[in-house]
Amino acid sequence: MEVLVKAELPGLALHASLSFPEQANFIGVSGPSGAGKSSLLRCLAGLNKKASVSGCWGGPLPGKARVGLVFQDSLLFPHLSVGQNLLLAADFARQQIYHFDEVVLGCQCSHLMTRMPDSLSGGEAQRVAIARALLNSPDILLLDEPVSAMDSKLKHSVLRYLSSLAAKGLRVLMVSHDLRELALYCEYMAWLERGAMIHQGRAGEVIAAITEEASEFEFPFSVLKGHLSATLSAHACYEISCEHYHIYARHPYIEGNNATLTVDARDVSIDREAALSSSIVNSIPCSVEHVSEPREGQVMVTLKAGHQRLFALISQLSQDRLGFTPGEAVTARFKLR
Amino acid sequence: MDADLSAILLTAKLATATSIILMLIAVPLAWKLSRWKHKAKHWVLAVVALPLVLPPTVLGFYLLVVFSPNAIGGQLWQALVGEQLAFSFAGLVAGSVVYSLPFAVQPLYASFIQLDSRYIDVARTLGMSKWSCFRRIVMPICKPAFVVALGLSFAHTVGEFGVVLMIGGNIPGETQVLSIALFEHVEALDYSRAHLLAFGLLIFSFVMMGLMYRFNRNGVSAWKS
Repeated sequence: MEVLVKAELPGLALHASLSFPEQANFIGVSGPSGAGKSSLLRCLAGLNKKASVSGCWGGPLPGKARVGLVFQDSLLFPHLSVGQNLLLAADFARQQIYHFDEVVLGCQCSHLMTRMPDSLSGGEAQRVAIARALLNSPDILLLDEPVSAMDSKLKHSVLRYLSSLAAKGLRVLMVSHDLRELALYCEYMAWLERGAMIHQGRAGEVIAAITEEASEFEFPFSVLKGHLSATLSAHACYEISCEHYHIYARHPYIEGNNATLTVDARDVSIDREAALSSSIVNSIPCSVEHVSEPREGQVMVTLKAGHQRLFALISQLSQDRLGFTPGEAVTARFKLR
Repeated sequence: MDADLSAILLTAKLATATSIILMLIAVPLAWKLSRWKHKAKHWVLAVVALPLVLPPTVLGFYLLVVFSPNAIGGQLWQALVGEQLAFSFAGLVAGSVVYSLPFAVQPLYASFIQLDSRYIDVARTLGMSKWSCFRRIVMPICKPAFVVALGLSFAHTVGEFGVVLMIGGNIPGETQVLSIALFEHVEALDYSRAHLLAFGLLIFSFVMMGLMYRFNRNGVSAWKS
């Protein structure tokens, strides 16, 4: 995928170059408020007539590809019921790629069909809006904070469904403020600031770069990848093999045998002793890669476990007492969540 | 009494023809104006709104000048139809269209302006043509405004007096509408017939307004389950 978007917007010059491997089908975009994320989607959807869009994603852009757009506000047509909104979108599809009932089920809106849009909750409306866009059989689906109003369980369920469609060929570009969402479901992501792409690449690498660059510890979490080794139903969690160690998580993103999880840097503690009786389930031997300057009484320690990075946000008091230094072998521990 | 019945029928015919023509003009005009971002837009809106503030006699006078057989408008009409425009039913319709134009345009314009343009964006990304989008999304969402525009156009045409008197005169069966027939009864001191027409107009206007308000309420709540 190589796409260049240029547009002069009020107070912002958008000049965003997106460059990802051709197999990248689920791309995340994030950035601070006012960076131009929603404007980028409008340009890609062809709704900004003054914007210049050029490049290729599956086919030439702008071209014959049907580009669907889901707004954060859902924008269901208020004079039509949920079912009528969905049927209208299906009526205007050039071809029926997805089965109506499957989409309705995947977006968890089977029970909403006779309801009017103004009787729906924010999360319900967002699910219907995603289903409506899918039933129009887009080649490219653009999503602007599409699950922001959903509760955690539904959010993961809908994102898993979208991810499964992306794996079958649907090209999805999702804007979200929630980097954890992007880290779990998007293999690739981009970070937009003041209309320009500052970082783009594999989601874990981009998030690591953002975390290291942040002037404050705004996004303190890391992404770990591993292989699913067991489902522990009795303990309501999964066992994942990560860098030759077993770690446990309740809500990893699982695709086939691969598992991805996010670890909040505030949940990570660092021990010098490897053997420790602790209620904290997860422990991975690491080496200290970097210790940040203290900011507001906190220090970010970057740990390296094999090829993966783990961030630990510890107090400056701990760092002063323990004096972690780069190259030192330690054990990172974090709670099962 | 025959003359009154004839005036009632003529008024109904005039109001119907005017309302239909007005909707054909006002809908695209209001839509275009709501999407237009040129700085001249305010002046165009002012021209459309002029009949609201202009004395009907002023408007009637200028229309009479334009419709006269010596003016281009009148000559053009005569060449096309073979009849003069002033003091004819066609002249009345043309005058009424101009006079009631803001009553049709304003509710539609206000509704189109308030419509979240992102509904149109969604419709376009779903692959709808401009016409499909207007017919299947804009018209149903703005339905109350269409009803108000139609109702106001009809009611306002039924109630007009100054303009029709100036450009239509008072020809029974041709240009004598209800309000003029009423005026004639008052002048002739025939108060019983004047009462009948005045009360009839009062009731008609009351029912018309009541229905419009009722529909507007239903229009808003009709989308709620």
